[in-house]
Amino acid sequence: MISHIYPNFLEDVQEYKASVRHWEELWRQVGKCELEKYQWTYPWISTGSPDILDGNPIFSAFSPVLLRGIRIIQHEPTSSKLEIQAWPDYVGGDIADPASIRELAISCALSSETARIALDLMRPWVAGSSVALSSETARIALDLMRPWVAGSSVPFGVKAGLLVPNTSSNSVESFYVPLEPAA
Amino acid sequence: MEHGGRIQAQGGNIEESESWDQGTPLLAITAYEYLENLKIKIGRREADLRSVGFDQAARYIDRMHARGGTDPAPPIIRKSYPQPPRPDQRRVDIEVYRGRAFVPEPRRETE
Repeated sequence: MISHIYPNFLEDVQEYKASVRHWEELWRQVGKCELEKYQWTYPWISTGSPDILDGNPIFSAFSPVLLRGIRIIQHEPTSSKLEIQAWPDYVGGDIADPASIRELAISCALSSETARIALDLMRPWVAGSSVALSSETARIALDLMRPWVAGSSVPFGVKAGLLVPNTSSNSVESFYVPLEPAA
Repeated sequence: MEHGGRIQAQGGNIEESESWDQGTPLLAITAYEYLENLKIKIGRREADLRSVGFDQAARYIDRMHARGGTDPAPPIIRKSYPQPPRPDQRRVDIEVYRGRAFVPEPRRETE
């Protein structure tokens, strides 16, 4: 059972602003040294206008040194389950374009659990490393997923799911985080 | 060119896009055409799987169109739909990396 934070953020401007602050505070926990070393700045991506408060994205940051970005999308919770996905993407070009920006995108319903997972994903990313979760966060995520994994015919778990899905490669290109079983 | 961006269908082993790079802001009506073109490019089955994503992307274009388009010279705009995402990562992305987009058609001069 997940206790979502600011679940009505799309209807309540105060909750929206509080959500933004929540992500900004989380960002400060990423690591001051890395943020300064790689000249990370935020915000980076716009929703289209300051008055478009749709959470898509709710937070973003960019490093011109690493040519990397982070985009956090917050959506309303649809269940009492853990709701988070992450994927790699490219901005301004594709994988073959050396000028394109590599992006870590995370979409979630905000809870203390998803915030922790997001933080774990962001920490290595801002330092120029590949994405992986700490064993502690992996354990938490797995515990939360276990009820659905058990009832799912989808091959899903540590290897196929969130944590380090491709054992032969830990690079972000192979990184994919389905935290719910595929349909 | 002053105005550029792309609309993409990604996931499900598909990566198709409609892009623009032009001297004038992208019209909303052209963006709707790009969405329809993308549906044709990826085929009916994949388009159906992304139906919510396409609908949400169109609603975003509606919203920007209604307010006169995206802001002048904003930072990069990136949107991923649907939200919440599909577990299989099939999605529709909107990216405006330069200039303005989704503006109404210019009014014709009346006598």
